[in-house]
Amino acid sequence: MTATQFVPKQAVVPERTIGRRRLNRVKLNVFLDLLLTAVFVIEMEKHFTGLALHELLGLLFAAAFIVHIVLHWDWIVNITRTFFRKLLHESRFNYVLNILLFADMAFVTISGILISRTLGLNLSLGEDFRRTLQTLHMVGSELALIIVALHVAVHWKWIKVNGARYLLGWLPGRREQPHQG
Amino acid sequence: MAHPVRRQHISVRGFFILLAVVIIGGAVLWSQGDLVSPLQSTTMLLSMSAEDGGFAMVGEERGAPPEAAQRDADENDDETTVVQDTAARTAPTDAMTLETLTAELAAAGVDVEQVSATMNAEGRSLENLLAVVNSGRVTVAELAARLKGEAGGEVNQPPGEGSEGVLDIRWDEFGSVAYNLWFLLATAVVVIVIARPIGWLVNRTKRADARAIN
Repeated sequence: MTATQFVPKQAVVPERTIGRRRLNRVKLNVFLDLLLTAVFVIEMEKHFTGLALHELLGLLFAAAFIVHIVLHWDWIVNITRTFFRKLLHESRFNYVLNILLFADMAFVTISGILISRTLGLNLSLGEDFRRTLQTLHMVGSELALIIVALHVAVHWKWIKVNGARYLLGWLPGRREQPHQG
Repeated sequence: MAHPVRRQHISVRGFFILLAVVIIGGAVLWSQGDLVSPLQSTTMLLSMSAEDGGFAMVGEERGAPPEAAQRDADENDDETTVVQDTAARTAPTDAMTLETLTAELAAAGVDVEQVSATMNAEGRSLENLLAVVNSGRVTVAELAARLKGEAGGEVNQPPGEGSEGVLDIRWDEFGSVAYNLWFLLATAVVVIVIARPIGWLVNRTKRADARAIN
């Protein structure tokens, strides 16, 4: 038995107090990102889900995406402030990639809502406009797959470390490993 | 804190596990015809058309094995492509237009406006019917007969369209979902591999600049 076993997880990972509850933000991010990934890869295939579920999952994804942004708001503000200060900024590529991802996701979500057929909005769009929007919606979603893939790749180290900690932490071999800051 | 050598060992092991997952997953997807090569997907994206017919989606051809997909592409036109989705996707050049279909249905005595309204209420449109007609699975006359209730049976709908149930999942399309997940992991592998020499080059340039300034 090692001494690190007696160190509670909450003592070594970032946490934030919301009311009386303590929220482990890293753990929340891991599970939220897992949800986002699962919904995203399913959402990409309308043939798999059918139109009704595709549109409902789209709304769920949009909501989870907004929460993801809110959870990373501090990072966004910090990088935005320092973006032009250093020429070789380590996070610059990541930041530009995230801006692209945000713009693409926002477009795909909004266009998806506009051309939706089962959400009950019944927007009276012209057929040509609807068709164009549908084409752009599909191109945007294919582009999103590429950008999300790069986003995942850029954050692979974080995913590997925290995914292993929170998703595989229950495995006997991993239980006694010390937490790395 | 873990020992640096042990950390590096774990990191390399993790990378090889990821690589193995990508290779095995890629092989499985390839054997099932769910793997589209980047060249093929780029070609399909570039085949986008400004015409009413729309464009061929990357995911459209994933359903068939590679050789079967090629064979289907050769036989082409009326069977595989159009049926897969709405008429907003690929349509053969001699395909019927929505206007022609509407006119022919009206001539056959179908109340097109009512049909359109009913289909819109169900989350579909006349384009779905157009896609089925252009697929060659049903003629305009047969369609008109069915719409007028003269013949039983449903018009064969394109997959994923007109499904009213929320949990109307088509498990035979699961390969496409697996492909998306595989693509994310494969990109991670490529970026990890490319990042090493790029990082080395950037550091070298930085050091050279620093030396030049000093």
